[in-house]
Amino acid sequence: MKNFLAILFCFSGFFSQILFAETLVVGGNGKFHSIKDALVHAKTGDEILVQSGIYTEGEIIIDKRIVLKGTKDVILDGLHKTSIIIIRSNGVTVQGLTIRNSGYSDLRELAGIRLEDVSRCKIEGNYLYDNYFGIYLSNSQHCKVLNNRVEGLAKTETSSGNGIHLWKSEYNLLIGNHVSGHRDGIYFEFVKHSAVISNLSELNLRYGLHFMFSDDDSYRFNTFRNNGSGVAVMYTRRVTMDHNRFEHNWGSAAYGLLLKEISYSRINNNTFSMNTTGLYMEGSNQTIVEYNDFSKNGWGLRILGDCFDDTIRYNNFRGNTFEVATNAIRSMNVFYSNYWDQYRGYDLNHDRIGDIPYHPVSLYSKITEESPYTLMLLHSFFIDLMDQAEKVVPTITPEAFKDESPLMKPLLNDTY
Amino acid sequence: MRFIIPRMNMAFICLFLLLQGCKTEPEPIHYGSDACAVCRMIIVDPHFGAELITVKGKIYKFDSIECMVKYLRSNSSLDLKQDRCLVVDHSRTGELVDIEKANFLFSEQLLSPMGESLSAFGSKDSLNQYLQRFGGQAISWNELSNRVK
Repeated sequence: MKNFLAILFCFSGFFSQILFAETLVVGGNGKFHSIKDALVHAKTGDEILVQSGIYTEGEIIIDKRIVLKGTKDVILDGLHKTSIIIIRSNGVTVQGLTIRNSGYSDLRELAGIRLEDVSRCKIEGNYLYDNYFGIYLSNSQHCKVLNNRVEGLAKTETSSGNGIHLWKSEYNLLIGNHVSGHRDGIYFEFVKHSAVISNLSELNLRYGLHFMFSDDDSYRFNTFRNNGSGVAVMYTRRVTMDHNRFEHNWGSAAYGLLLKEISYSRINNNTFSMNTTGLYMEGSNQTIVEYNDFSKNGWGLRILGDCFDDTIRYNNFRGNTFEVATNAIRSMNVFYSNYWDQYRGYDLNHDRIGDIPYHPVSLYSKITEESPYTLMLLHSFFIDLMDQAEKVVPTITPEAFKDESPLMKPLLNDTY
Repeated sequence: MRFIIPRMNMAFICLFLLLQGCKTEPEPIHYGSDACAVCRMIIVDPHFGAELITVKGKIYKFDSIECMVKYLRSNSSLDLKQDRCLVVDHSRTGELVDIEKANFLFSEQLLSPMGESLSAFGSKDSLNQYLQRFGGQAISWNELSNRVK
């Protein structure tokens, strides 16, 4: 009985907060005319409901646990001067607002929505337009960024910020956002234990996704398309990247996915399609690359000599100009059971595995690795002749780079 | 005699041009298109950056001082006494200064591209201005290179 009363007491406390939470209406026929005014009168747990209209109130600082919610067509305009919403309290929700025209600063990272040292906040269903940084999480934990549209008008890389920017944060979730027109679409620096799921990042000036020093994160079901230099991930351990699409990243320094010093990670079930370089690996080790589709890239996979103990298996390589390129002499990585459409072997015992090993590094790819200008000779008769001769009598291409069990038919990989 | 002097002049001019060609001048960093030689990122923030000119005249560009330190450390074959190292002046965007003349600041308020919070200044005055405004501490080149992991 005592226990029951205690529980009841707890619940009554909990309910009272909900029951006595007020809704403060701003604009339209509401009691308040500005969001700032409503914030002054709001108590913890209240909801501020903003009616349609354009609000130009400068920096709105939320330092109470409240819900800020917009009805239709609520526009918060920063007039290109300041940040627009700054959250300094735990448990704040910002929902359904249009936030546009934040200021630009050389010194401070002004943003549409900025979260500073908070936890358990939720940013949902907002439309951010033409801000320096879109959504900026600084030292924040357990926050959710859901279904926002972040649109920038970046013209030069130096004068624009990132779409969704996380710095020194942990346990955050980014789901269903669409980011475009910023410097980097999604940017992580010192972010741990976070997940990026089902986002679309396109038409950003530099990288669609960019992270550094961010261990134990996962990236799933995202699309990174048409970004200036693709996706770059570096100096990170224990990353999971699966079911993503990396496509249409063209340019001399553009990569579908660039891995720089990534270790103990998994890259599986991704699609790398129509990139200058599908997957580029430098200084990466103990990483497993499996069940991916590499199609129609200039280079399917470029793996540099400082990579070791990586496993590349069960991937499909289709329609790439170069399947694998490397500057290494010996291979310290393992290749097996991939499908290579340039494989010309045979399968006499019908076990669906080619009877002779396949060397995916062609002589010509080796030459272009050393002097890129020779690319001019691509598809010339002389080069084809040289490649065939090298296949018969390998002399220059690294002998150790081989797939002992190349597949005769492509795998049906469950890619996104 | 009248013909000799112009000829001598020409010789001097030729010699002068020849000597000029031996020394490589610093090249400005093209923000937004140049990639860092260490971390491969496209260099975008004009408050940060560094450049290394080797004795042979080869130029390497970096997005931050920390990347240059890493490069110097991992390439022991480079002759540090003869190579020229430059860093970008934080207060004058994109302008390069020699490390001998530069003053370094460690301030957690100034986030450098590779996360070590290091910036450089051409003059003591501008360093002090930033120091007052953002806090942190002024450090020497040696302290700085020890700081980079």
